[in-house]
Amino acid sequence: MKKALSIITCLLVIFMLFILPASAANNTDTNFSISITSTSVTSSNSATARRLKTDTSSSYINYTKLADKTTSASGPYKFIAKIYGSATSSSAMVDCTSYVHNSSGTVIGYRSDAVVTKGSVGLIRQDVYEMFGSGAYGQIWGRAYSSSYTGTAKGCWSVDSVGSYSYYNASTLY
Amino acid sequence: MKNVLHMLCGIICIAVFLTSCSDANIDGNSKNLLAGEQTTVINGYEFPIDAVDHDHTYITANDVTYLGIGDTINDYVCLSNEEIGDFERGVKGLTYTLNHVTVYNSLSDAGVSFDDCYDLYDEQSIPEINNNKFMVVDMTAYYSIEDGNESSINVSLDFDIKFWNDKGANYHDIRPSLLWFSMHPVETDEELDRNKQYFVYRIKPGEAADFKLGILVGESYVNEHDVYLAQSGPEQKIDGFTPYYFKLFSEKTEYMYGEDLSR
Repeated sequence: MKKALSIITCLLVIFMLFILPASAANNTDTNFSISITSTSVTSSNSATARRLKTDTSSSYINYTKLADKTTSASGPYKFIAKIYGSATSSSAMVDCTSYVHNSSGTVIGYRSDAVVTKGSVGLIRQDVYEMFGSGAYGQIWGRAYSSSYTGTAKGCWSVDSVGSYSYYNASTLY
Repeated sequence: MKNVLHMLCGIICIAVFLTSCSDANIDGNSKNLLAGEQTTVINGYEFPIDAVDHDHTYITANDVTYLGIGDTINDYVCLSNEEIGDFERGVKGLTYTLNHVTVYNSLSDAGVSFDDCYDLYDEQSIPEINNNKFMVVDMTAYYSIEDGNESSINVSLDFDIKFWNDKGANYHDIRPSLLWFSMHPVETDEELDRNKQYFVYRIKPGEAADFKLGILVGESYVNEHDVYLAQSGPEQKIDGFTPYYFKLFSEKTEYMYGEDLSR
């Protein structure tokens, strides 16, 4: 019995090692600056280039401070954020946030809008790495929550994340 | 003892169940998008046409102003444009000068510890990292404003690594990526988070700071001399915005692993 217990304990330890998330991630904060003009136009971050996605983690958004941690975030009170992805650093980007796919690539659901409110920090669910694999890139885009909230949204973000924060969006199957 | 055994088995079963759940690729009854909605397929995934950005033209090699060793760039950029709104980046009075570039055979040949690097890779990747070239870029930051305020400011180092010949996802050669910054915050820094603010440093008015950047580079990018240090900014072509890139390969670039055969 002791032997069986030892084997199971070893298996458990090995298994836990596999399920623990890797510590490496592209999770340093870089600034975003997004022109929020209307509810129908989604604009790209113009502060930094798209970033290498290294895992399947959600993306992190900080709409309280810039990356220097001293300058306050600025811009419209609310905006809708999306994470776009691409296979290369220069190919056309696609919205990897709004749709849920099955393993065949068919759309089987959608995600609610990620409404980012000034003063908040949180995560956006997206599937950049799942869709494009190793070497994929992600970028934050945004559009107006309503025509009352326009301007240039400035804060910081990271394409990967480590740690627990609340999610800005949720998935729903059709 | 049996109870302990059952408990362990239970934990394993729960762990297996949890790892089988994933936010992406949820299997279920497939339904199409809205009837009549035009779709396109990218990398095997179906998207509505309007989910793909076809509206922008991205910067190409011909749109860039290249700078070299000995050149200086202003960190502060300000412009107003209909497409990107009021664009402002960097710190007024802060400049960066490119002093020197050295290409080493590997991270360890450059004398840089993996533990000192930005947390982009885990420890299992060390052998792969050491199979790739490592560029060390010597630069100087100078903060010229002297308005009586002697306190230091936090600055986020705002550069991107660029290359023009992108071979696509899952290409065997590791892509150029910024992996080391000699002035990164230490673990014991009470104000800056070493992981999330790795590229943030402090500088005083009137002070010059010499620092080094380390870039992990696949061999093909070295052979093609295709690595640039770019001032962060829009990726799209924007009227009135000139992107500045430091050209890291030049006749002054040193190769610490032998003769550069590609020239």
